[in-house]
Amino acid sequence: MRASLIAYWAAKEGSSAAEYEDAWRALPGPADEVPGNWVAIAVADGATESLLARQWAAMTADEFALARTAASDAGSFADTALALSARWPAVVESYTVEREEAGRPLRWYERPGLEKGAFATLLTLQMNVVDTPADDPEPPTQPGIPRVIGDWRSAAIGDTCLFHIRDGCLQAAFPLDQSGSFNTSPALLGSCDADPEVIADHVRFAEGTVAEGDDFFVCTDAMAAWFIACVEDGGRPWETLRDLTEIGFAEWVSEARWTGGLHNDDVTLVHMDIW
Amino acid sequence: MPYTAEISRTNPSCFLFLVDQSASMVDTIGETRQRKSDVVADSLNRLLTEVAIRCAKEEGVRDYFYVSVLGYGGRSVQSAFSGALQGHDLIPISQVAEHPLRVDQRVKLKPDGAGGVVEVKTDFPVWVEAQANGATPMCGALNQARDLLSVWTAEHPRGFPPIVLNLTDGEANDGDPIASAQQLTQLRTDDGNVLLFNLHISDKGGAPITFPADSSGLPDAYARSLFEMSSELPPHMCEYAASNHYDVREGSRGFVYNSDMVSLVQFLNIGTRALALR
Repeated sequence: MRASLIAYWAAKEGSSAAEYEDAWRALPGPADEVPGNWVAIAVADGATESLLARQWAAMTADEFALARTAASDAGSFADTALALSARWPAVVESYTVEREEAGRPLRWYERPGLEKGAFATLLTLQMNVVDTPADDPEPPTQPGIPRVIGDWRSAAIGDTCLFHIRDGCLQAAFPLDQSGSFNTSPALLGSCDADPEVIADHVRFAEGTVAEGDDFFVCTDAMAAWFIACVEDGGRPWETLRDLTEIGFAEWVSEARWTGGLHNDDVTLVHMDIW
Repeated sequence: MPYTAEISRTNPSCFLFLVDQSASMVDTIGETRQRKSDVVADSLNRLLTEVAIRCAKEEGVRDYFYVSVLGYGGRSVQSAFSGALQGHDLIPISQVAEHPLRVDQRVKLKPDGAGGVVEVKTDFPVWVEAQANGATPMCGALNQARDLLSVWTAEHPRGFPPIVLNLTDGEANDGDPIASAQQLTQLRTDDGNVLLFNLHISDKGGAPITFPADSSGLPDAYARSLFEMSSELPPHMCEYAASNHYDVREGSRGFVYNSDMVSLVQFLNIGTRALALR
């Protein structure tokens, strides 16, 4: 596929890397040139106030990256979520045993949080692209209009966002498109969720086409809120993000937090660049 | 915008609880057999529990808050902590969580998932026991809070302003508490003035009142005085309360009458809230 995929992450300032509670999964994986015709990206953001949020976010991202139909079908999305919830008691049990064996049994203040379950926002993006060689003689359908080479579908719960850029413009912002929509109570996928209808009620779907030259950015809420605020101010934040490198990302995040433009939170960004 | 500073381990805030332990607290509430001192001690222990649980993570309790509990009764105002915490003024919430006097077991009702309820045992940590002795030096308590927080606000100028929560029957007898309250709430950080909230436990009984915007429905002069001392709920706390079906409006104050204030802990932002889909 004529596309590259790269992921960046940074823990909240004042927290250690071990306390980073976002998670991302990209299939087939980050690459300068992504093999095959299918890409899946899932990004989850574990809720600060829940215990084992890191594990729950990782499980959620891993599972939803693999669940192709969950990006376009509410029933499939809910089934995937419930299958994850069914595995959660074993995770808690294993953690409890681990703590006892380490001589640190659970304390009174941890039990209510563990009983309540872990929570995370989630966005999954599934993309299919018809591979085209660089020397493909087929011209664009119209001069100046990017050639469509595939399609994408996305599902989201909460405020992890997808931004689709085409031809220097924001083509889609999903599921939120206003900076004022971000708050500390987003919809969350919970490890104790049991009702498929409630999950289906909260999941949002979007879809679109993939064209040569497109950029896709999937990011957790702090960066998403910054991105949308920039757009609202007439800016083109994708130009900043497109040119980042791994070292440049850490520096940029640190500076953006310091100047107040980026809320201090865990940050995750997955960028897919279609050539 | 005020009251939006991040609350984190590197930028902690502070809870200062003032607990009325005067002789009048031995009276019972309305027609019930509950003593005011028991209700106040229970409310305080539940508040401390809620703060600790909200800050709990796998590695322990994160120090998003420092906490002080000052008891006032007789002639003295002093730390109401005992045991390992005895004599300490402001201590990190992790230390509070690690050192309750004891952890009782209580029974609570929980939905059974089939339309009924079941009884489940739950931990109930206790830090402060009910006490009721002597006079009510509320002004002294507010003045001591001011002294403690003038140091805190100087040391944490960018922090979310401290919250003072006064649990009382309102019957101060060492002066006019409104003047002392005004001095206390004039302290500020860059993010806003110190917040003073009051939980009024009255032996008059009557319907509970939560976060009123005016004093017209309050039953007596003590309640009106405590209402007047109370800070308005900051906008984001008001918004969160409204979204959780509390009857709040512009001007609603951090005052409750014969009710509890545990919900207040939920009004504070320390990160993404762990709320199930509904």
